[in-house]
Amino acid sequence: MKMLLRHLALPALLGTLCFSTTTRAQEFSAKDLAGRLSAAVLDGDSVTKLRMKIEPSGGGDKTLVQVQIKARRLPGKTQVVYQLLWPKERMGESFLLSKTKGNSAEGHSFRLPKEVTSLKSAQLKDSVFGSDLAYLDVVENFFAWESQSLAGQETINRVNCLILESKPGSSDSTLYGVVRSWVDPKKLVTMRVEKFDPSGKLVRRIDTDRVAKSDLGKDIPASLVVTRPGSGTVTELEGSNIRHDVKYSDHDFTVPAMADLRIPR
Amino acid sequence: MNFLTIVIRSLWRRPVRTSLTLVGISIGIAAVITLVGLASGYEKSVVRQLDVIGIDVIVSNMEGGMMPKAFDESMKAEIAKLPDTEKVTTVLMQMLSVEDAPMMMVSGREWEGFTWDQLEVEEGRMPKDASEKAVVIGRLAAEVLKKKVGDTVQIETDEFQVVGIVDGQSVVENGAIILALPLFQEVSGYQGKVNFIDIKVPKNTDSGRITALCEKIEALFPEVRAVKAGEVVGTSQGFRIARAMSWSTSLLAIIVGVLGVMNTMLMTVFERTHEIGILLALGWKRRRIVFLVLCESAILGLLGGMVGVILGAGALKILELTPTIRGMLEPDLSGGLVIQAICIAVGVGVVSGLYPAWRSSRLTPSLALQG
Repeated sequence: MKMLLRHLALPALLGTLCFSTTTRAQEFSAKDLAGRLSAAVLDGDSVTKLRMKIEPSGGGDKTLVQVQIKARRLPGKTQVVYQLLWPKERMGESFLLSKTKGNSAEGHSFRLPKEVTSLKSAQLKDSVFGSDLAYLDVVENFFAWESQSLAGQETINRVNCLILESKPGSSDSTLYGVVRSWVDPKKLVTMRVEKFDPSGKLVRRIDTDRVAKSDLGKDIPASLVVTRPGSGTVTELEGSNIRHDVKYSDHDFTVPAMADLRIPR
Repeated sequence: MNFLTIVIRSLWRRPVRTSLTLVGISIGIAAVITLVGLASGYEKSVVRQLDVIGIDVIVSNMEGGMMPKAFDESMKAEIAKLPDTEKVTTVLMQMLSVEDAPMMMVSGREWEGFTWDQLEVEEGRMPKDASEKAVVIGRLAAEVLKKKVGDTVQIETDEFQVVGIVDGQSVVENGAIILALPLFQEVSGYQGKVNFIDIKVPKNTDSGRITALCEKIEALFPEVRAVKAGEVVGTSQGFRIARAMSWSTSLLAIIVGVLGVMNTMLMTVFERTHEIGILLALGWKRRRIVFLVLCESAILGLLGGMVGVILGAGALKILELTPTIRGMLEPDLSGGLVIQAICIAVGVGVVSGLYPAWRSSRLTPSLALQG
């Protein structure tokens, strides 16, 4: 059927890692580019499904999980709930994060059977479900940071990208010193993101393997590979579905609702 | 020594060079066979699925994402009232990653709708009713998921019992998980929504009436498109893009082949100026020399094409067995594609030989004999 034409799901997610908005190739100033990317990140209420494959260093057994992400991304405030759907024995494991402009992200994690732990700023560098992503990566919008500059051009996967360099200002609470993004200026999709700590050491690299259309008709990264130099581990994220026809209440981003897997309509 | 012997002997004179040139052409032709075979198999599997189910008209909304947008299922009742609609049924279909398997089709079908009819139970049974929390899975999907009758499969947040393994008589159906529509609407959060309405028209309805039915549906519901099943492949931009991409990628491989053959033939001409001079001195006409060179390059193309077809067929077979493709599509190696590929290979040979042939025709007996 027709749906097969566009097969292979999509999915985006990772809040700030994924953005979109199709535009014509054109000249951008750094501020303009970052502004457009930031606006694309702030896509309101959404639910995303993705498959996460975590490959340990040394070739051990791979971990495979299915994740549901409920997100509300508004100017000045981002809230996300990440929930494990599969494997069955981990279904319901989740975490909730909230970040408001100028403040550090905070939230809670929930582990089976009933362990709720508070996530403080010091834990934001910890791993998401054992993957190469840190909690902060899924809630932080570095395109909204004060300092944005263009650092050149480079071809990634045959796409000529603009390199956007984002640096936090004094009011931006983050663990990173610099984030470099390789942006496809035609589709406004990041093809690569590199995050450096304040000492300038590369901490994390996120490569986009595949771009797909979202339910809003925008281009978004659909398949991502996350690596941490020196760790030897690799995390692959394969999006399968993203929907924006959902409506959350404030309650959906609270601790009692964290393990509720239903999708509100 | 006749003409053909001269052609074959000159190709055989440098067996390594000839073989390497053949490899170059055959890789190009193998790319044609593999890529076009995959794209064509994709189209055929979709057409076969529609044929088997007996769908005449498909109503969907392709706006937005990669999946048809969901719309209200109540639309079905209005469509069913239109003339020339014998059977109308609703479907909610999604591509989902299920458990540890990659993306696969999950199809929620209106209970007792005609889209269930072509499913043949190979093992187990069909669900008892629309409320039984059960699924049937196509035999390819069963292999991918490693499921048998009696196992459970988790779709999104809910577990369903696998009550049957079915043969859907098309690769698309055999790669799917099929369950009752209300169950899938509930688990996927699409309560009251579907993304396909499938229509069967009475037998012998002429094409004009089906077109009129499509127009009426689109006039009633401007947000959807009604397409005749036979035109899904022809009118779909997705299929056109897949076809164009497979041919354009193949074209690059072919260009490499052309350059390879041209290089070989040029070398042959340069090495054989003495021989060509003797042939001219013996009274061969220039056009016969040109024909000789063109024949050599055409034979190179023909042989490369034949080897390429064999390589391409092997590649298709291997791809068919890979987990990513298995169950998703059925590569197609038709006689037409094989003939097309071999004609391309011969064409590549002839085109590549044009310049060397022209160079050879400019030789004069005296110059050629001087070496």
